[in-house]
Amino acid sequence: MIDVVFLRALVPLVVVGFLLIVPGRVAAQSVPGHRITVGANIGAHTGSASRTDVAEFSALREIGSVRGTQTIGPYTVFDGSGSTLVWKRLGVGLAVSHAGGKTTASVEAEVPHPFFFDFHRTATASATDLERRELIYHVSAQLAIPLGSSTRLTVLGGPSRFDASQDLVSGIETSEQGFPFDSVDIAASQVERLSVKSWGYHVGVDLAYHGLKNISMLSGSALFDHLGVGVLIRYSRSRPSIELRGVEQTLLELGSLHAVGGLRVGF
Amino acid sequence: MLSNRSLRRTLFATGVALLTAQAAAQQQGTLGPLVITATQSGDLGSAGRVVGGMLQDGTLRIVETTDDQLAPGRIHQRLAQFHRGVRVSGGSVCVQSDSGISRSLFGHVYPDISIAVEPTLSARDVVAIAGSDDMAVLSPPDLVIVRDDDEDAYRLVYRIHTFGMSGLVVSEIDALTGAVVSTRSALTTQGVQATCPDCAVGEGLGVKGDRKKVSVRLSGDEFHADDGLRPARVSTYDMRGDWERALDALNGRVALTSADLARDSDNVWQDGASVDAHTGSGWTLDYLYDRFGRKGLDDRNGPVVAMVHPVHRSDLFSVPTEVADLFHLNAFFCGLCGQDGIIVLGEGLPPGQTIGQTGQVLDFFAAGLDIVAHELGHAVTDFSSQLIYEGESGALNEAFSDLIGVGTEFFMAETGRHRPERADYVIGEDVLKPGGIRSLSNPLSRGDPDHYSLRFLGSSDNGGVHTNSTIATHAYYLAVEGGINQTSRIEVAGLGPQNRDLVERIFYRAFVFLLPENATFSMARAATLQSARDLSDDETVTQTIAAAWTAVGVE
Repeated sequence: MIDVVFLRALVPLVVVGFLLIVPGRVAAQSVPGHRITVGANIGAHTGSASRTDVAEFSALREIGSVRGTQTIGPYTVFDGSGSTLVWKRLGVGLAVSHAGGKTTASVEAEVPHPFFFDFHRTATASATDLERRELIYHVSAQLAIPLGSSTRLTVLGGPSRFDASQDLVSGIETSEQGFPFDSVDIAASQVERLSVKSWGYHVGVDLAYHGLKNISMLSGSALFDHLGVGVLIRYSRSRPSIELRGVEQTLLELGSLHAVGGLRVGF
Repeated sequence: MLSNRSLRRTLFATGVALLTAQAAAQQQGTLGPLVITATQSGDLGSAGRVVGGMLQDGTLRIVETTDDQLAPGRIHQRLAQFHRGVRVSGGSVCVQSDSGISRSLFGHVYPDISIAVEPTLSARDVVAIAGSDDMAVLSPPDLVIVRDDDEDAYRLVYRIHTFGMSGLVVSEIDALTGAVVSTRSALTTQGVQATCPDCAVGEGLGVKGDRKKVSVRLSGDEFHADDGLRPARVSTYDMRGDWERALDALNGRVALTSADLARDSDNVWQDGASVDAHTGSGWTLDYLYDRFGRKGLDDRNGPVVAMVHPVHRSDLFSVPTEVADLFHLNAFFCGLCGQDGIIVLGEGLPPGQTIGQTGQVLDFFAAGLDIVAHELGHAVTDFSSQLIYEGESGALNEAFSDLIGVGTEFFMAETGRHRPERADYVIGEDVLKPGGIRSLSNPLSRGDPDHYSLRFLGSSDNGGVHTNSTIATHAYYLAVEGGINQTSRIEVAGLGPQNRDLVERIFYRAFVFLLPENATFSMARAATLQSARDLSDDETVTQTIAAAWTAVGVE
C-alpha cells in the first residue's frame, strides 16, 4: 500500500519539479519584491488521528493493563519564518511552527482480581486535559517563482527538527467495590508526559502578495511598500519511537499538513 | 417478618380440612410422627390447619425467619416443636409463604406426647456421665424429648456433645435413669470489607501444583492465612502435625490462636495443603454468594475456620488408631468445635501407602476442592435445615454437601475463575486416586446405590448416610445431564448443563429452606418440585426433576 504520507509529500515535490523543468515564461521574469522576507502566520494543524497507548502495571500478583485512546488534532498553528534569496531565484529559509492543544482520552483497564489468576476485570473511565505540543524548526531550500509583479510563489523543502511533548495515560488508581470483587472502578488515571526530539522533513509552498500598496486607501503609507500577505501550506513529518514505562508504543506521529496565513514583510 | 399471630392467620386461611394422615393415625391409636408434605399441588389447606393449630397452642414456635434471595417476596419460617417447654427432637416444620399465603409446608410433628418433663438428673450429673479425660464436653447438655421407635415411646433425655479421639460424638442420656440411650458420631465427614489495611494477596501452589492467589493478612513481618477481604473471615490453621494440640483445639481444651495460623514469610506460599484449604474455603463462599446470594455459611458472614496438618503423615503408624482414622483418613466438619465450627482436612497417607486392597493413594484432603466445599456444605446445613445426621435425613445432609462440592467445582471451572480446575460428578477424585470417593453420575461404580430400592438399611455409618446420599445426588445428576438409571432403566431427558445453575438453585432452595430436620427422600422430592415451581414457570423443569426422582425410585 502506498503511504498516504508519502503521497502528501509527493505533491509539492512534483510542483517544484514542474516549475524547474518548464522554465518557459517564468525564466524571463525577475523575482518581484524583496530579497529578505519575514513572515508571521496563524492557521491550522489539519487532520486528526486516533492514538491508543498501552501501559502495564503490576497489581495483585499479576500484570494489568490500561489503554488510553485519544484523538490527536486538529490544533491551532503559530508560525514564524524568515528567508532570503541567495542566488537568482534560489534562497534559504528558517521557520518555527508551534502546534498543540488538549484532548480527552477514553481509558479502559484490565485489572487483576484479588482472588483469581487470569480473571481480569474491565473498568472504564476518561482522562481529561491530555496535552500535546509540537515545536518544529524548519530549515528550507527555497525556489521563488514570480507570478506577476506583486505575487511570489515559493516552493520550499528541507529538514525539520521536532521538539514535542505528548501526555499519555500511563496507569490508574483503582477503587474496589468490595466482595465479591468482580467489579472495580477507576478512581483516577495517571498521566505521564513524554518529551521527544527528532529529525524529520518538510515540504511546502508559500504564496505571498506584496501589492497592498496598490490599493488606493493604503497607498499613502510607506509601510505597505514592505508589508504583504500570504498563505503557506507546509507538510512536515517525523515518526519517533517512544516508550511508556518500558513498553514500546506505536510510533509517535509528529507534524501534519499545516495551512496558515498571515503577514509578510519584505526588505 | 411474620409474627406468630400473622403466621397462624396465614396457615388457617389456607384450608379447612384436617390432615388425612393425622386422622388416620389417631384412629389407629399409634404413636409416631405426623408427616407433613404439603405443596401448591395439594394438601396445603389441611396441613396449614394442623400446623396453625399447633402454633396457636404453643406446641410449635417460630425459631427462624429468612427472606428468600432466589424467589423475591417469599419468606421461609422454621417452626420447632416443644412439649411443655422442652424441645421435641425431630419435630419441626418449614413454612414457605408469599404475601401471607402459604406455598408449602414440610415437616414432622409428634402430636401425641404426654410424658412428664421434670428430669431426675441434673445437667452436672450428665456431664459427669458423658465427659472423661478423653472426651471433653463441648457445650452444656440440652434437655430434649426423643422418640424411641424400639420402645414405641417418648423419652426425656439430655443431649450432650463431646469431642475426643473418636471425633465429635453426640450422646443421649436418659434424664430419669442416667442410661445412655444412644451414641453416634456427629462429625459430618468425608471419609469485605473493601478496605483492609493489613490485607494482602499472596500466591502459592496447591497440592496439585496449580497456582492460586491467597488472600491473607500481614502481621508483623509474616503473612497469615487469614482472609480479610471476604466479608466472612476465613482462617486456616496449620497444626504442624501436633495431633494432641489439634485434638485439644477441637474439644475446646485450648483455643486456637494466631500462632496456629498457617503462615509464610514472603507471601509466596509453599505448603500446598494450606493453600488449597484456604483458597477452597474462600472459593466456596464465592460460589454460595454468586449462585444463591448466601452470605457465608450462616448467611450472616460468620467466620470460617479450617484446620490442616492435624497430624504428620509420617506418624501414621505411631499415633493411636483412632487418631489415624480421624486425622489421616478423614475430613470432617465439627459444628460445635471452636467458636464457630471447624473443618478439619486430613493428612492422607504417606507416599507408598495405599488404601487396603484397592491400591488407591490418599492425598491431602485439602487437595479436593469438592471435599473442602462438601465440608463447608455441612456447615450450611447446620445453619439452616439442620438435617439430622442419621438415616434418610442424614443421607440428604450428605447429598446436599456433595451438591455444594460439585457445584463449587463447576462454578470455578466454567466461569474461568480457576481454569486448571477439572469439574466433574465425582467426589474426591483429587484425593482418593484413582477413582474418587463417590460418583453422582454412576453411583454403582463405587458401590453406592443409584436407586431407593438398593438403599443401605444397616446401622453403620449412622444408617448409611454416605452411601445412601447418592440416591438423591444421582437424581440431581439425571436432572442436569439426563441419562438412564441403571437399576430402573428409566431414561431422563436432563435439562442440560446450560441449566445446571437453575437445578443447583432448585435443590439448594429446597434443602436450605423447605426441608425440616428429619426430612425423608420422599419429602426431598416434593420440596425440590415445589422449589422448581417457585423458581421457574417452565413446566418442563418441574417434570424433569420429577422424572429424575422417579428414575431413582423416590416418589
